[in-house]
Amino acid sequence: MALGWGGFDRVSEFWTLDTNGDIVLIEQKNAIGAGILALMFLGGGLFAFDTSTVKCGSEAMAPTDTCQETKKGVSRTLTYQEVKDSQVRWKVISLGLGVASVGGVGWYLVQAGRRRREEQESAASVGLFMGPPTT
Amino acid sequence: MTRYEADFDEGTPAVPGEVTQAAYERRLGELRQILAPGRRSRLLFGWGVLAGISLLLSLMVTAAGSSNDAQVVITLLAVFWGITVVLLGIFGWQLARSPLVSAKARSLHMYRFEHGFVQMTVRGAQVYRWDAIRTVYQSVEKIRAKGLPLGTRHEYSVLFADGSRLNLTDVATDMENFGPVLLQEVARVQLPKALAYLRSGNPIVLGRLTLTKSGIGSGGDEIAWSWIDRVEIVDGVLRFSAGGSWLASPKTPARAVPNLYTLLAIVEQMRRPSTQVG
Repeated sequence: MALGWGGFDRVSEFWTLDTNGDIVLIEQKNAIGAGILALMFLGGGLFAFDTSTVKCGSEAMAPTDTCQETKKGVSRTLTYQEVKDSQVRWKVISLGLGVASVGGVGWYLVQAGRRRREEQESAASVGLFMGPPTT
Repeated sequence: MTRYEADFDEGTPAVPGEVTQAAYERRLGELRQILAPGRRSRLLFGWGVLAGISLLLSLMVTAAGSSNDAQVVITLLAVFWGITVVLLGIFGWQLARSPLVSAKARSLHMYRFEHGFVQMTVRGAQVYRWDAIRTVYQSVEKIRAKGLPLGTRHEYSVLFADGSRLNLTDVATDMENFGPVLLQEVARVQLPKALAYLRSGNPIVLGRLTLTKSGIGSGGDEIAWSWIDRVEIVDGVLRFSAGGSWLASPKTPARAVPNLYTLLAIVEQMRRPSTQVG
């Protein structure tokens, strides 16, 4: 195809698209998959960790109680305060993930709104010199 | 054969009558290229991995839940298995619509003509003319996971004069090939009119960049056309060089610049006002 300005070679004397010959924008970090998995953990965490009462397994603890915990065959005894601290820690993590998720969605919406405005302005500007299409 | 010449061989499928008729009615001219539908392999892989991880998590929760509080276990099982069923459903739905298993999907080609293109969809032939396109935003992303390259994702968002929109991704066709052609055809149609419009003293807005008879600017800063000696896109950022130095402004993400090839061609022409186009 003969174009008036010499066509679009990948690299011209005047401009360069990229060293790899592509319009490479960013490296995506698989954010969508990570987001869905984060929401799964967040949802599970919010359901599982009710901190209104301190529980050892499924039983409510009194401040004088201790809790026997077994992990990978190793048992250890936790005080009421240690169990409570652990539950609060999980709640903080859950809240942090929740706030980060809401912030991320908000940032995305702001960017999408800006992009939409720019797109409409650009389309109107192009329309001024292009006029109506042929058919 | 260059990529811009007619691209046919012995294995080229016959052009459906519906496509020929639609192209004739919209005066699309000569057929130049037939592109196969996208294979959806990355989409299938992505949903498959997500569904697999979700299934694994659900099985782990099921196995670990037997010794805990019944109410919590039931709630957790409902959440995890609910998400797993949804993800498996999406994966199955995508697989059923992919050219891997669907003969119908394998027949949905893209046809590039002289003055536009026809996309075959399940709703029939969709016809688009190059001169009806107002803006094209392009997004090309290299996907990596833990340093492992998982391919490149292409996405082109096209806005037409009638306000309608078309999003073209790797699902539609081979966008690594068709994407640059799309930008190039839009530039070919828009460039002569854009240059005449600019040289008459009218501004053109392309994303965050404003082009005038005197130069190109963004956010109040403007560089005179004659100062620009190079334009470069590196790591997705469009930047300009003047006097041998790369300028801090205007510098903008390429994905935020519509009609990128039109812009590049305008810059190249405007910095040499005496050059004639065509």
